Amino acid sequence: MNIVVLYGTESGNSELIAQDLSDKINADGQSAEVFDLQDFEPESITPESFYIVVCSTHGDGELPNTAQDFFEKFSTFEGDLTGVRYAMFGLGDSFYEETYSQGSEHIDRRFTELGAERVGEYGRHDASSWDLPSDVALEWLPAVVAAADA
Amino acid sequence: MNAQTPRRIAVVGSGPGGCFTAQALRRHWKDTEITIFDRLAAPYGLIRYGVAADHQHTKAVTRQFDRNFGSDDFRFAGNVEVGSDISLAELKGVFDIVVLATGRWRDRALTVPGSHLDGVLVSGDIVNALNTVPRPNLPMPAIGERVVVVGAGNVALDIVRFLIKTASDYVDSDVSPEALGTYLERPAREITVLSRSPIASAKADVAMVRELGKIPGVAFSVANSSSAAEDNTLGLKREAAFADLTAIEPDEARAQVRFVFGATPSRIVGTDHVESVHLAEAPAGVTGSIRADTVISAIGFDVNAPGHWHYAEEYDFAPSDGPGRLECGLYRAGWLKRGPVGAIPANRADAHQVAKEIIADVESGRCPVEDDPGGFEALPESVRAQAVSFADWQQIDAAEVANAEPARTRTKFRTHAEMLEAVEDLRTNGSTAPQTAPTHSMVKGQS
Repeated sequence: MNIVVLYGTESGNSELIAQDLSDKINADGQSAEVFDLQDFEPESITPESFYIVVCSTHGDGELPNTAQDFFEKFSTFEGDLTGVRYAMFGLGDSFYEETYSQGSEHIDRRFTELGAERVGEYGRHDASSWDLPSDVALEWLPAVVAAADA
Repeated sequence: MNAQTPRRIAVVGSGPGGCFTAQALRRHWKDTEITIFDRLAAPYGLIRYGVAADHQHTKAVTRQFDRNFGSDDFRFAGNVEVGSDISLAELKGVFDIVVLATGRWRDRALTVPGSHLDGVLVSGDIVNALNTVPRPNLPMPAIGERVVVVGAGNVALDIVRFLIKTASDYVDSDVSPEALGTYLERPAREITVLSRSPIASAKADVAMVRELGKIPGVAFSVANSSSAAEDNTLGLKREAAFADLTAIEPDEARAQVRFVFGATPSRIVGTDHVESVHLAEAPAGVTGSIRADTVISAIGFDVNAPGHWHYAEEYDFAPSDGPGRLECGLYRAGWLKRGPVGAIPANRADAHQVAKEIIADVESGRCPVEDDPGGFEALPESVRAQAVSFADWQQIDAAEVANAEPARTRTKFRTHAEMLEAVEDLRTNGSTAPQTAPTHSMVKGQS
């Protein structure tokens, strides 16, 4: 199955994770490609691909810069995403309790509203931990890929 | 490689503006040699030296750049100052493209009468001391018990946080134990923050306001000059965050923080040292004179700091939203281009813009590149010899980490000379052991 890794980023960390996830998937013999959400259209989402969305949180629980235009389009997008499966990996800082990791959840909610199905655990990286973001994401990845193949 | 691909790119300044620009150029031109120069032996500029020491997570963005340098995507040439070690003209001679990303480093100072008095400080002096800015390391300035902070943007809130935090709030940071210890021997008890704008249009992020409320033992009060309009969602959110601060009732307040919005200082009064701050305007109920022994301004950076452009006096560096191109082959990015506003993420967006512009200029033929100019290897031998490589820096880095005092991620070398000595020792001895142990005292904290 083709895996599309999408990222929304403000300072580049999500991009790095997305690239690492894609490299790992390709190294493991499956195919993955990476897109910045700002270069991606909701119309391109099809049940033939599996989507991994990596997205940070900015400001007061808002979407990061490169995800904002996409989200506007996604919000008014009227397609039916039934049969589409995806996984989410959100970044945030639990120090800001009220808004922790909320950026990715805007996208997650819209996927669900349109009929898509989230599989696997909702991945998170907490900047208040000392874990390296890519390490956490790569640990999270195998179960998600397994769920995607199931 | 055809004529429409540059072979050698130089970036001057290894802060976020320079590194993000280099990253974006690397993504497009996979084989081009990219050399990032810095006058310091350590990379990352504002990320290492300008981010608040208690916001350690913000510094994690350097992991991206570590990887770029580590994979030979970029060459680091630290300890090379353009304008003194090498001229900009020489650099332009051996690189197809030079991107200037040297930032804007000097604080804008208050200009009201009395600004010259002892006890009037700029926020940068405090941030520099906490971050151990070398060349040479600046000591923590003396701060008294009654402090007036001028400004209410994020840097001002960084300062307020610093004034009210205790030693335990810096666990696992890279703050200078010496600078922090100096302040915590006798921390401020009364802090007044003056903002020219009302809360609705003040610059502070809501998250930064909320963060203040998490620091125990502090009482807050707020005087506002005018309320946010009903359709000003962000302004209303910020007002609510300030209102939440005033609802905090500590059992015993170590410090009192009073925010006064819609207030500007008219003069600072004192004989030699600050004694009080007089207000030109103030909201109802606020007295026109505030007793103070210290004034800290956090009102932005000086866009025209004298001496800053010594390497390129012939160019106009006024902030611009327009192109980054100064001329074909010479560009500017980051704060040097758009002015000293916005945090690290905003610089990424801008760096991508400038990179796109450079790529378009070259590929459209508007600014064609010529034969291979030689790049780093074509620089004078003396310059190449003094350049601190990324591998050298990693040794400095390891020494700083090894030198970390308890509850610190690292203890930075205090001077540029110490860093260079460490490199020299390591080159001579091939050893990775830290050669210079920190000699300063431990943090004398309260908690």
